[in-house]
Amino acid sequence: MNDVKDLLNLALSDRPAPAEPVDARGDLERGRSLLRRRRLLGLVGVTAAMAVGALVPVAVQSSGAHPAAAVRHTTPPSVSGSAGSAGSIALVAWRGTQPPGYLVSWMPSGWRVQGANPFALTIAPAGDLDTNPDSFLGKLVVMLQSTDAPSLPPGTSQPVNGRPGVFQTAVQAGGNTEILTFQVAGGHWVQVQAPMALGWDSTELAKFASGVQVLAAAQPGHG
Amino acid sequence: MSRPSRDEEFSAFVRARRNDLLRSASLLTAGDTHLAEDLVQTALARLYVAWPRVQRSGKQFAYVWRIVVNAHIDEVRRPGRRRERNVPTLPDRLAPLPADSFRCGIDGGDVRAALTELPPGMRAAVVLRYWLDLSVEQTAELLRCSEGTVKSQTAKGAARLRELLGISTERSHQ
Repeated sequence: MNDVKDLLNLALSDRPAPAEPVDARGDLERGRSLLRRRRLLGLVGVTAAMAVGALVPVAVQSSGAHPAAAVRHTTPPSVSGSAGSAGSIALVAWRGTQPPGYLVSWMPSGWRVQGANPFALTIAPAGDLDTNPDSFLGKLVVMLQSTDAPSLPPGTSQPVNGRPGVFQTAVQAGGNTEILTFQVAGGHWVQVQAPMALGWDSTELAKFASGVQVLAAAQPGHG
Repeated sequence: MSRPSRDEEFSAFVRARRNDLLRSASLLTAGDTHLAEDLVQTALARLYVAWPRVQRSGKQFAYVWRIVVNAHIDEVRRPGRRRERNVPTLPDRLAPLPADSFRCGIDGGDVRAALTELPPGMRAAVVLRYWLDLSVEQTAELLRCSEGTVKSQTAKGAARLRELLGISTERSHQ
């Protein structure tokens, strides 16, 4: 076994040693920033549930239990396939139940709208054990960019429908989701968070985003 | 005397362990120091978020390592990432070396090049077992696989490294 450890040591022997002493401030700031974002997402969920409780029904399951949605969309989900990249979950055209706030034209194959309110649209795998639409872990989420966000996040350019957009890898986004921030007609900036489980690249995420419509009921979060 | 705050505890952990993490992550990325830095930054940010829970468990290092390993595997498997790179000239092939040339005939670049040939999961098993000296059980828990898988991946990884670097099995057991 030791010879392998010697080899690994050799692999590092000609690399510059990391700086000493370690300055923890950068990691501390990134940690705080991620914590703020996580708390914001939680707050958005709770706030939305409270607000929407008085305004419109929320937590709609894709079975069509939402009365308003049922009136607007009486047909069962109808899909037509579209092959994604190797290993990814393909996008399919979606004409199923959609609550107010946001509309989508594409859906990951086998996924369903789990819930929606003016602050966020939550899409999850059919049969997902986590049925709380205010829990975003491992789910595809659409929301307006926070009004308090200072500027566009760092990332690579990824236009959507000919309008500007910025794609962040999971590493850039500081978590385990990819994020596409893009502008829609009317000037709103929308964010789509996609879990790595979807296996999407920026092009597939942009395709999903191209089918997102922001309705008048949608509201940005704060923080 | 008041209890140290999350910021103080986290900063102390970073100061004590960051360089070890970075060096180990550099092995995981086969010498890609930029990716290693990204992975460590991601892992430490997530550690900060989970600090109260993880700190109570006393497994901060294991928690960070799990994130580093998983993020690396996600990154490598990410659609659109090119596994091959176009280069203007063919790279030099590692010629098998005589057993007694281990110390003088192989340099760090050779080892890093050999590491790139290992699949990410196998490389992770090798680094965790041989570099971090984790047990089979700890490695299996961290990689979320069976102990049998760890044993086979580690053995195959070590054998492949030796093969790529032209180190004979006889020499390696001396």
